[in-house]
Amino acid sequence: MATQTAVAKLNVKNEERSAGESLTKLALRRLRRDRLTLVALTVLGILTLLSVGAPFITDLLGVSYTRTNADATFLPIGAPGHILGTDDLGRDHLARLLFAGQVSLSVGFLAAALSLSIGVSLGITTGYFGGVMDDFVNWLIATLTSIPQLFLLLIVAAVLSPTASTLIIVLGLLGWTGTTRLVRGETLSLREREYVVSARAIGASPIRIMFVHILPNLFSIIVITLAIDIGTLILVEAALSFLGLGIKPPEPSWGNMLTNAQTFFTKGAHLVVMPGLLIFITVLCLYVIGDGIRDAFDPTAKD
Amino acid sequence: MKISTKFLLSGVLVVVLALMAAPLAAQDGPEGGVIIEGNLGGDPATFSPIIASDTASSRITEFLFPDLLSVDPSQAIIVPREGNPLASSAVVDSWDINEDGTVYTFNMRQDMVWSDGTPITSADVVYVWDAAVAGQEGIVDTPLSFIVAAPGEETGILDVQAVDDFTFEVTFASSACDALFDAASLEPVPSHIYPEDLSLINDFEENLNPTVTANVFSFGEFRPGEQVSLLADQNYIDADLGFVNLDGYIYRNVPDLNVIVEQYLAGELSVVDNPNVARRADIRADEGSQVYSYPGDRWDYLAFNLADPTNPQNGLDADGNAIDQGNHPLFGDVRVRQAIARAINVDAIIDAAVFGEGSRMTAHLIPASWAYHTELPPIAFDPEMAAEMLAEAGWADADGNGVLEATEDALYADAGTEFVFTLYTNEGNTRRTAMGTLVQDQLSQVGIQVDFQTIDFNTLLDIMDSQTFDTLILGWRNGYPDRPDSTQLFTPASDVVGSGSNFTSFNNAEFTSLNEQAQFVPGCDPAERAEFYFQMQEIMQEELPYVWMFAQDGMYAARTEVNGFDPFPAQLYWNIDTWSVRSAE
Amino acid sequence: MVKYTLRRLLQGIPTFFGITILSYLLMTAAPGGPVAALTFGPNVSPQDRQQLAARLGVNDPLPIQYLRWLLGDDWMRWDSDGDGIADSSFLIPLDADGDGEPEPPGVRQGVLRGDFGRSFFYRRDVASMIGERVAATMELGASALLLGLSVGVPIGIVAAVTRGSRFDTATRVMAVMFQAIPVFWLGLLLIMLFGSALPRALGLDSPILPMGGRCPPVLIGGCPPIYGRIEYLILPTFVLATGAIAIYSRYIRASMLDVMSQDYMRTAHSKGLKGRSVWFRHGARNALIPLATFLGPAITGLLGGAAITETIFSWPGLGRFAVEAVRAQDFPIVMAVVIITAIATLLGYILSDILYALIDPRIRFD
Repeated sequence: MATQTAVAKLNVKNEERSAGESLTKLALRRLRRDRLTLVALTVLGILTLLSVGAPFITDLLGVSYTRTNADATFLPIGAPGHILGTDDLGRDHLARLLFAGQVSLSVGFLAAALSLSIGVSLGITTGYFGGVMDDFVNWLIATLTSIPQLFLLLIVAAVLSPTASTLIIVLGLLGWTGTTRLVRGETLSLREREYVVSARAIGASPIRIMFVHILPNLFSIIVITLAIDIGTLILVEAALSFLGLGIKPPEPSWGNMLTNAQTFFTKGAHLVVMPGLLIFITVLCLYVIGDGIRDAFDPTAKD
Repeated sequence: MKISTKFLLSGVLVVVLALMAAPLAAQDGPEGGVIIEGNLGGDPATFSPIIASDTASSRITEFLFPDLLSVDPSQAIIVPREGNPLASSAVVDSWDINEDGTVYTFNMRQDMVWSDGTPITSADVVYVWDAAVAGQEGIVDTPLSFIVAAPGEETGILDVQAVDDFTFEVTFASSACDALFDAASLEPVPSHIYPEDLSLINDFEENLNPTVTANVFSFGEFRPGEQVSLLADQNYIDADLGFVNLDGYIYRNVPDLNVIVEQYLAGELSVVDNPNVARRADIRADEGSQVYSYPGDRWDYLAFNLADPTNPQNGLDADGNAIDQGNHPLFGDVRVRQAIARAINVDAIIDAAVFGEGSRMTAHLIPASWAYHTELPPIAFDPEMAAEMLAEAGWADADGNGVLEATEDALYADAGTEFVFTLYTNEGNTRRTAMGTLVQDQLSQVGIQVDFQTIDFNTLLDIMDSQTFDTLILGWRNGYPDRPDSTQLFTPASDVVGSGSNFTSFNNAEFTSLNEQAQFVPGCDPAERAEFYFQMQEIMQEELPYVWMFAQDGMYAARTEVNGFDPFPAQLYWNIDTWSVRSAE
Repeated sequence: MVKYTLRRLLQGIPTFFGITILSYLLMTAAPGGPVAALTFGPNVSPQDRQQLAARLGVNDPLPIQYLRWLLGDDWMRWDSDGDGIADSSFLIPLDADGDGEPEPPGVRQGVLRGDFGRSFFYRRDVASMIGERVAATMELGASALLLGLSVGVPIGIVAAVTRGSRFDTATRVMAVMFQAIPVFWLGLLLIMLFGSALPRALGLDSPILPMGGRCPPVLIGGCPPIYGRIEYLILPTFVLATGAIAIYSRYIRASMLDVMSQDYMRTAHSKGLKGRSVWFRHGARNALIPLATFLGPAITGLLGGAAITETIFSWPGLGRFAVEAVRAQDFPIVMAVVIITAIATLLGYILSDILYALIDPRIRFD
């Protein structure tokens, strides 16, 4: 909520700028100097690479995320053959964290991408055309935001018994309201701008106007929302897991690994700490990146 | 409004009573203290013994209302109170049985009164029976209606009649040895204050604020979402010390399984009942704890669907004749089940899934049962033998992909079918998730591919009842006192699509007949009955409708400040009237 | 103003139907159903289940179920000759479970007449069960909101004024950290820290702060007034407020930066009003205006977000209650909580708008 309003503020400012190009260049230059954001980007990149490369890494290390071993449970970090130790069933903890990373990151990323696409397309069309469709979408937004998100998710999760793919769809379908509002407001003001009015006057089709004249101006909102939404969705998945309605084991996710390890902090603290830490670091990086991009695009900031 | 005023008044009254009792007790009096137990589940739904069906409600009603029959906690069997020094407090002293064994005449004590001074009489028992009957018609929300004999069935109660104020007669549908269990459910309520119109029981105001009780405790107050408190009832007639030693008991909601252990370790709770297995080592290591473990009454199993999952059928038709069940392509063949039972390393599962806090099952009865077959060794883990048995049953990995395929020799599977099946368990249960994961991995090593899924509990029950599953992991909890009867779980009469508990469609004529014979042993001598149960266990180890896993050990723990903590299996509070809590000096 | 409020309330009506129909559809689509959940056990016969389903009305077509919930069923099946047995019915059959006897007459009044129905599991009037828990939820929600605002707002303002300073960076990282920590993790750590680790380190034999609950575990006398049990509020409030602190500080920082770039502020500054005091005196007040829009969403957020905190800290609130009800498929409870939070949110939005207009003269009601 806060970020979105803050984003709106930033874009009100954007109206004052002369050319989009130069601001993007300026923003990139600022980003290159923003060490915090760069560190966050690097860390997130490494985590993503590790997760994507999970099958190769585990092959290389000769471990498996499904192979159990009742004689080697709760091995600590640094145990021979298991860099990050083993879990309650003797499975390699590093392997599980990597494969869980695949699940958690893709749930966060894909669901955010889905909700963003819905949000942006609905926001642009309703903002541009208005009318009955606008009223309907507004009503839908009012309805969806009046039910606490967690309840809604709980009810839907109970209906669907989520796997990674259903969870992505559910989170994506429920998360678009904020973005729509934001984009709709932005479009409303953009459509009255001179260059849009003149494009319309020379007969450009609405589709063309929306894609060519309006969408590029939403770039910064989209990037910021994406970064912050991914982080939030990873946390939502963890919260759902805690309530027993997240990704179902044995398919690992950071959220369900953390929940499952709750009772193990005296037996193997690394099982609690590691997934929690990974969630924390990932979300931290994403939020820092979101903030960094916002600041980079902020025209009021001094160089 | 009315209720809350009454609530308040009764609270004041109890405080006043407690204050009055205090000086009296000062001479050889109660040492006092309050037991605080954590309640991991939700609020009790009711404090009426007629309506109570959830664990939390029963915990409270057992402290407030008297039992009908005595139990000897050291042996976990129902005994006459008369002549048994260890027998628990109950309103019935003794009983006589008629010649054909179907009519029991119960003799009640005449010295027991409700907390308002009214004597406890046979009318209080008959009232509960009437409520159970009304429950069967859907008028009263009571779990007791199962004791009412269904037409044509051999179990249950036909009628309960008062002979005089302190004698009543119960007519059973048959002379089955387990008849007493049904009778024991008729725990009396103060019928003189209960509504005459039984349909009013559901909303009776005493359900949430029981003012008239008769046991160790009387009702304190109920703070929804927080706690239920009970106060020592110094009029309790069977107090061993002559008085109830505690001041009271609090059942406090702690909905997180970790927090409950943390609160206990920090001394905020005085007792925990069956804490999470992963945290038991911490409790054992805690110097401030007294710990009691026992072979448990909850057992987890892996069930096979023996029948054709695409065409579920009831076990018997309306005339009681067996209906052909078809065969499950994989598990219809008993050799396959036997091979799987040998390919699963149950001891390793006990170590990993419950941290060793479990006792191996050899067949369908828990090790704590009086009918448990101690001579029967468990099936040994033997993957080589399992592989051989699978080969013999017509399964071989011809294409070398690591998964077995059916050959022409396979009994019910088409040649070329891969040995792949689904294993379900309910989500949110760490223990069963671990079991499933281990089974999946262990079976993959003999060429069996398991698609293991954790799903919503209600969905799982639906799939289970509809008998369309391949395999599933779930658990049963034995009642107390133990009753080794298998009618519900393993006889064709209970194989009812959509509701029966014999969802594996197990049907073994010899087993069913032995189960029947064990019920009708003349004189019902446990040793004689056990002989039948031993034979049944031998059959079950061969037939394997379930892979026998383990019974999770029970654990009670209390802070060292708690005096009198001396449980029996599944009987934590049998002597709570003598408990006290040493206050910290 | 009155007209505006009325219009907003009228606009709320379609939203109300949207919320209730959506929730109803979703809930009844859940597999298993309440009857399976209520009757798990070897002793239950198929007839018992049929009876229960008929009594709960869960086998009726969805529109009927929704209507019953909305308008009651005393007009669907009733007793016209006063003998206590239903003899007339509309929309639903007289004999729902097919046992040859009519079901009892309908007694439900429906939500629109203030009857939220009975809980399937507790078999009690839902309205009174909600009533028992509202106070606890509001207590925790209000204190978290208060703490969130009183810490988040100053941090946000100072961070904006000292933009780029160490304080700014530190508080921004802290805000992100607070948002990134899974709530149940933080809660459990705090419980262990204040319940056992710290007392052990300090040689105390009892926890420094209570490890859960809302009131002391006393036998009788109920819950003391709030000032007598502040210690029970500290940890859950803190955990619930961490997210709020993070959100508010970031929000206020952005809003303040915005205000600071306004012309009148620059003018004030250039006219010789020295130092940072001008930012605080003139800027902060304007930066707080948009906060008014926060009330509505804050209410929903605190109610929904409290479910996990309430579970970890054994707090007897609505969030935990609703989560338990969703799990048990206790429709009437879930529906009631959804309605109540939705209405609270709606009122919150209206209140926000009105406040906003009162504070900011640029906004007109029309």
